[in-house]
Amino acid sequence: MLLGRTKPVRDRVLAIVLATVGITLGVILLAAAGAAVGLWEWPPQPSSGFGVACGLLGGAIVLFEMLMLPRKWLRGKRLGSTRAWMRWHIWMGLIGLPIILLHAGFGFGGPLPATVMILFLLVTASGIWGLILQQWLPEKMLHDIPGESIASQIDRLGHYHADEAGRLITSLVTVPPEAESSEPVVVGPLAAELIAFRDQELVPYLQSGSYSRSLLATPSDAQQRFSRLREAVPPAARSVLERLQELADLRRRWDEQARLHFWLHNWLLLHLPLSVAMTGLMLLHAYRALKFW
Amino acid sequence: MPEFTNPDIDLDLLGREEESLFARDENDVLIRREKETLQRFEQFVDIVIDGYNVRVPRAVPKTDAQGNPLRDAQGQLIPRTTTIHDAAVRLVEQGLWAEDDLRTRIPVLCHQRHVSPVAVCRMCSVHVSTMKRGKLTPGRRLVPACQHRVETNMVVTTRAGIDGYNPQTREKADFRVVERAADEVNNAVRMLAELLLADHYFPSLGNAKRYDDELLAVAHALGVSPEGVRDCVRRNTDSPSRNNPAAVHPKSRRFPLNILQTPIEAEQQAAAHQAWEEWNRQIDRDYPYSSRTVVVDHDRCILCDRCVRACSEVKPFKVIGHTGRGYGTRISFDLDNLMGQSSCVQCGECMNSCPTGALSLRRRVQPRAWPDSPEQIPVNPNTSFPSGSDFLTADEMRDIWLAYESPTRGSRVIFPFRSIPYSYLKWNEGSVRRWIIRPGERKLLCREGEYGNTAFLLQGTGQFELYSRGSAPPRKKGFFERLWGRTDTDATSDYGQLLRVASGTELVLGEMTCLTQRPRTATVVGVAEPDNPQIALAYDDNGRPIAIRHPQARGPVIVYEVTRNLLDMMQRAESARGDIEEMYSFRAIQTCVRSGRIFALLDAAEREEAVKFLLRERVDGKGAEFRRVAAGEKIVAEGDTAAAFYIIRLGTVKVFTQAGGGEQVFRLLSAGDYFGETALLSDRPGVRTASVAALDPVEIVRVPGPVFRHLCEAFPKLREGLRSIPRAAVPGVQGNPPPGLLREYVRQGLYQGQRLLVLDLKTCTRCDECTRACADSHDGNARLLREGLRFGDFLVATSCRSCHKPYCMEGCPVDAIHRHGNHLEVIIENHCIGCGLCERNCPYGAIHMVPRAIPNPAAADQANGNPHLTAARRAVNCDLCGGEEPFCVEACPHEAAFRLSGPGLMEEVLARLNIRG
Repeated sequence: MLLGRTKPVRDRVLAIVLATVGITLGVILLAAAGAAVGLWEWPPQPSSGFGVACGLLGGAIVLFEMLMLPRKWLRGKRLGSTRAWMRWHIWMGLIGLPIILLHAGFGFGGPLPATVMILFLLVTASGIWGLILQQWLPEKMLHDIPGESIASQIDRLGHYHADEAGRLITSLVTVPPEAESSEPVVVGPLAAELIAFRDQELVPYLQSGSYSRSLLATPSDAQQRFSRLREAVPPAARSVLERLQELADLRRRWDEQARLHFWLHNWLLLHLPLSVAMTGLMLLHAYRALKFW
Repeated sequence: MPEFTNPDIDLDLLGREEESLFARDENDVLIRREKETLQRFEQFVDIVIDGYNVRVPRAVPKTDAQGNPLRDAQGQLIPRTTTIHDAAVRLVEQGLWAEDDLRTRIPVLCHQRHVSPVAVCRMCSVHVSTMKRGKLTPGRRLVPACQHRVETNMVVTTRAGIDGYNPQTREKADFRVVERAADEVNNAVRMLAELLLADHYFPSLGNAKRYDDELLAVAHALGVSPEGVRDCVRRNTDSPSRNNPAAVHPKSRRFPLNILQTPIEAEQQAAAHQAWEEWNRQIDRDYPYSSRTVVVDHDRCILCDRCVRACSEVKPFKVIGHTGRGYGTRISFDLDNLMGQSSCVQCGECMNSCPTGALSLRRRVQPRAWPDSPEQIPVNPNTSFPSGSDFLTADEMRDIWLAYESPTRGSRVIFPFRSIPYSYLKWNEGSVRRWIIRPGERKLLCREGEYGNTAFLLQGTGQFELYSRGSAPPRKKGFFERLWGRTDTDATSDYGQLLRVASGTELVLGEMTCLTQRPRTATVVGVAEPDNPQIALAYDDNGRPIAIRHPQARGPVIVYEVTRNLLDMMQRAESARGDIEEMYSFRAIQTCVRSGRIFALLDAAEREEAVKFLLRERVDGKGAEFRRVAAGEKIVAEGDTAAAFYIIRLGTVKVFTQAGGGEQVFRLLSAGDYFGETALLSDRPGVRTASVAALDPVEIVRVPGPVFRHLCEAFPKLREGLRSIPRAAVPGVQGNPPPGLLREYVRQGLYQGQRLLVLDLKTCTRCDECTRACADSHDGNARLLREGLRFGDFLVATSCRSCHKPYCMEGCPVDAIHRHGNHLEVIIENHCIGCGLCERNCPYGAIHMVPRAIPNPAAADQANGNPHLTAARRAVNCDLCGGEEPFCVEACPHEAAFRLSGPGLMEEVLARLNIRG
């Protein structure tokens, strides 16, 4: 987002950190330089003219940042490219941090300003954290999960695969009506073991993934389990077991995808409510501060 | 007799009736036991039909419904056994018989030339004798001409008898044998006609003609009428109707298509509304098998199998089969479902092939091919169409005649719609528009660069100016034009350079756009000079139509604008197929040679000379020829001796070799490219070093090797240039992709894409904003799926690719899907009947069928304010958001969603590979 999509992840993450630090220090140094030539006092006081100006500018930036929310709601309207909105959202967010720090005079103030300040820092930190995650995790998903699917559809697909696995094992232990042979492919105790494996391990795992607490969730255990079964069954059943192992592997990758997907988006669970709370309290703080200024 | 020792017999095709001449294959289709071979194209048989000698090959090429020869994957013609009927058709082609003669001598009901013969109606029965040692041996039974193969020394007698005998050989004919044979045939077919009429003839439903009753026409030709059917064969009035079987258990596989009222102004009136309601009530009550488009009347069905074959051979659906036995035998849809609840897609092919009205039209389609298409086309087929408008009725369409100068056959007059099924014309009333250009007037017919879905049939007079801007962009509006909103759209300065002036006798213009779904290559202006002569239809002494021009009388220039689906049907109609094909091929060669990159190295003057040389030069009577190649067909095989040079007019081919047991693609070629020159440019004919196969339907111009060598001798610069020109592995891509990447590019069909939706998986956070934005901007129905195959670091999402060759547009029975203006987006119009053919045709799963609200206010804007729609479900497709930046791309916050062309995507992937390297 900051350096272009073709740069390596490490460069992009480094750029975010450097941009945050650089912009913050740059603005503060600029303000300090202004103080040095006598334009305003140092450290700036929140109630001074410079402090109030910084507060108003910071508040305007916060309100602009909050416009990202309705922009996303109105995604079916022509309101300009969302990527342009996002770019401004990030840059203005980074610029907003030193401005608010200058407004606060590098302090926290009373209970309300302190709450707003803490929320602001949390919002900024969660935003930067989210930005870093979004540089890193998509590429990790690209390389680690070749059979990626739509995250919200994983459980549904898992049920389809569970049905398929169930049918495959059933075809091994029973005689289909159109079959030429009167004997199933797998008989005796091994058939019972396969049925138990289907009902107790494979199908629950394919349906619920790692939540099923199945041994198949661990690659080495799964490999061991399938190897043992493959050796035990007659050669005619081996292709079926290979397919079953494929399904289990796919489900494991999807679990990994779900985990990454969670980290890719869970920072929003913090960023968004904190932003709303911070904006509300900020407006209250602004009202009270301007009223009694 | 069958030659059981013949090694050509394909044992795999043998069915359960091994002992008979014909057997049934696994699909229960009657097949000939002997497999035809290519050699039989060269083996000729002389037979005599009613005293007329005709020489025919033992096998003829199998053709599709449009008369195009079918080829196998190796590019070889597929042979089909020549039948007696084929031989009789040859007599018509030779001009010895008229079409009417053929119909009178060998009437047909179940047979259609474009589908496999099944010989179930036996109306085409003929008598066959064989000449053995100079003696005529009459056969003991009648044979069906549509299916019986021709054999040496065969003497065929039709029902025409001695009256229809060849006058030149009549003297030698054995009158007694001929008369007896003809009587035998006549008695048999008259009896058949009487039996069919007795059981299956009923007066037409409704008060308007909706179909051609071929059974009645054949019966009349045989002198049999419904009134004259003898009581002893007449159907028992107590017999139950086949439309009300005791146990009908339809199993719905798709949600039913409800009949929706389309209250156009005329039908909002009480009487019209009531008539429409009554019509539907009657059909629902008496013909429960009917669907929303087709009335199914099993009592009229003669089980001729035409609909079954139309559904499986012409169209690929295989919905119609047979069920029941004895008196209750009937056609069935899926497992004897009601038609409306079966998997039938309502394409209408069965209805158009039905000879008796057992499958007939229930409602009109109300096409909207033009912005001002009449709002007044009644949906009720029994309500008369507003006559006197420029939109033609089915009867008016059938009366259209065109006079033109064939490049090979001289002056001709054709009736392009006469052999199109009446039910189809009735269904699509309003799809043909007549333009009248009065003397002294000019009319802009179409603009260059626009995706048109219509072609222009020229009646025979007037001039048509063809302009082209070439690569120059369209003229921009001036400041004052923009300020005042005034625009002079007819300004010829905007059209570009005048390419040529076409005559009104060139039959058709604009057909290439229709048939290839490419933008128009020229702006066409129709011109009626002040002294434009009047033209009139007349008939010569032989009853053949001729056009008479009256130079002293002034008349208008008449142009018929027809929609693409009707042009497709014209290509299937025997009355116009050959003429359209002739003009198309002629122009295709001209344009292909002129625009081919082969002459890029020559200067303008040399280029023109070379083009003329190539079009003119012939060696052993063979010159440049036009060919269509089906997708997957091999044009050139590795290891073959080089015999020709090819220029691609349309489509994409792959150049590949079989290396290590696998296929290695190393080049793609598209329109304008050429191939096959390397082996020809060597001093002696070389062998092909690679194979070339079509990836999609391809049109090529084939230049025979000797002609090509002459061309290279005449233009040495060309020879040198062909050897030295470097060519890209993929058209439009700089650099050579690795073989694996190119193979994947081909496998995923990315070369087709003009606007692929690609997601950069390195930056895409899988937030689904693209899908949500699409749904939000399209009535809640997302037209993309964030799922698909990966190519490099990119995901090619399931969404419309704006293909170079839009398969989705093929075969739409009502021309509801097309491109508009100069935009790439594929639009599905509101008169979509919801048949789902486009959904099936799209290889990339980009079209979805969605239920449609009643009425759908969201679509009212597109329907010019008319919220009343015609189908209960409709196809939806990515419309690229009307030409602006698509919402899916605009809503992406992460620089991850893009619309790219196939080559553009390849460039991106190659660029990343270089970065990695």
